[in-house]
Amino acid sequence: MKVDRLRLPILLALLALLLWPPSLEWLLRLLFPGEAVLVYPMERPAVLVTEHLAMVLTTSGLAALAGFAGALVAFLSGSASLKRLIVFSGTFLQTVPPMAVLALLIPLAGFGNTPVFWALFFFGVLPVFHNAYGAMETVPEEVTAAARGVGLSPSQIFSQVTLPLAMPGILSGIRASLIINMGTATIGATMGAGGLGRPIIAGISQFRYPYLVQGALTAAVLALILDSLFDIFSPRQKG
Amino acid sequence: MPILSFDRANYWYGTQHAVKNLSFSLEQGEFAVLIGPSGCGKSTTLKMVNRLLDPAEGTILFMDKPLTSYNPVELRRTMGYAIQNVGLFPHWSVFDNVATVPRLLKWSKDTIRKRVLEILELVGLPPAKYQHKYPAELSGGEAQRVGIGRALAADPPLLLMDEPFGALDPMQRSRHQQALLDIQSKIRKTILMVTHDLDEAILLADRILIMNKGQLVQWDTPEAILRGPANAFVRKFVGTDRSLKQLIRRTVGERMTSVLPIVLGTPRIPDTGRSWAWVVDQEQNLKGWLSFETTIHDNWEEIVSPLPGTGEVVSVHSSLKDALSLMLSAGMKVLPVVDAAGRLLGEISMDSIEALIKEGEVHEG
Repeated sequence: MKVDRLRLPILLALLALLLWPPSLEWLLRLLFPGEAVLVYPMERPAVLVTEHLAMVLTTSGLAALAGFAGALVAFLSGSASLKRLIVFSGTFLQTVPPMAVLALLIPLAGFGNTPVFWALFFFGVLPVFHNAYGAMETVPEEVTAAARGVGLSPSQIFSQVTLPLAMPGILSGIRASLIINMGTATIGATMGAGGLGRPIIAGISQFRYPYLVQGALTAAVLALILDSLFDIFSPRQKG
Repeated sequence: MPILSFDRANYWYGTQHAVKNLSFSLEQGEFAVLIGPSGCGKSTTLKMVNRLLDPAEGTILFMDKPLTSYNPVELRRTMGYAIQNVGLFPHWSVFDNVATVPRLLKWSKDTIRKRVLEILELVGLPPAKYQHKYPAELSGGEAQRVGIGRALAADPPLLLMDEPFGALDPMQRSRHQQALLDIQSKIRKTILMVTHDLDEAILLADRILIMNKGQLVQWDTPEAILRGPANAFVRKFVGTDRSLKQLIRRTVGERMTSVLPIVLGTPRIPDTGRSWAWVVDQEQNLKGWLSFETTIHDNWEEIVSPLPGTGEVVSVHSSLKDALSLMLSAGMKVLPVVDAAGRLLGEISMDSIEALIKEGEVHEG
């Protein structure tokens, strides 16, 4: 419990350390005492983080909306074949590796932010869709039957029973989507997109491990912070 | 004036004729039980009452108006509804669950609060302890009581129950059946219940409606059905132990006889005309029994035989069927009848139960 409460402050302190160039340099010198150039010089750490967050939050936000809307359509359609089709496309598409999607998008969208945006959106939609649809489908039948029997209208059943009971599942889908995108977005730099992938790609191509560690560590800390925020703000199941 | 009446109602699932020309009516305050083998159409019949299903042919009147003239959603709010798996809303507290229908009916906050607390008392769940609990924190029996409370909350003129005790174990079931009878004796609702448990139907019902293959076979009081099954199907359905089943509805109180016990500390042997007697202390608490063949001396405690087990007593409310099975399992021909505090009230003998069974058989003619 105590460790839990300290997690977010510790992560935020670590992020501050990674954002301020002097402290970042000090940290990297601890890890790489022999290296001359430590901090990625092409862009300020704060700008890299802003680019990264902007990319992840917009794509995941839109993905959450689209995924939820898709799940809603699939759930409410009641058509068994449509449901099967949507579910199948969900499971099938999720197995495509992110690099393949990026590569396939380049001829269509060119280099830069656009293909990365679409790829992240695409990968963000699937976990939201899946979890939301699954959560709505698994609301116990006897609960909705009882709701109907005591006189809730169909829209009341959905808004007062199905949706609140599915909420934990819906939120865990959004959370998974955000965390996945936080990591996948770093690959975006290979396609010329901004964000924390830039120091990582530069570190790999120029054998400058401090750059690589700077990008990867910052991305990891951001993912952990988002995860903790979800823990704090998502409603707990009672009982 | 009947509160609910079916007039030649028919229902088809595809080509299967699930309910055939069903006509019956329920009187105000009556506890009616629908029973029959699975697939006989009893659940379909219940679903037609609150318009979860609509009959393809025939009419159903509720409070003198055809069901089709009611909006289904509003209709359901005027009928209590309790089902086998209870279906409490897991994200709502006990209070909120019971408050469901009053809130749908837009009662005022104060009225709802007063009513919910009253209902929780009625179903035997002290509000202080239970109102803030969530369904996951309740036992199966407690959840069932909340389910019945939710059904009763808006004081509906008709209560529908679909196998409400089906998910409980036999011990809990008989306790909750008794509790439902107690509640019913206070509120006198019109109840239509579906069950497949004949003993339950016999215990609870004012009238039993037996269905088979979508048709009404017999519609009568439990006693009448047990004494005079309408046809071979009913005779088979109620079984060969019809006369024993009549004992379900008879209580020990009806056949209890008074006794003259030996009172500890007053060494006087009452003239009971038999070779043994019950022993009680000064406060009439049952202590055991004493055979007069034992050498009598002053130290009573040593010569009193305790009952063979701990539970070989019955109350005046126990059914004669329970009393009889206890006699058989304990190997006793006579059982003491005690009150809730354990004071001896009288005794019930196997002979008197046998005599009752013989009377029943005579009635069958």
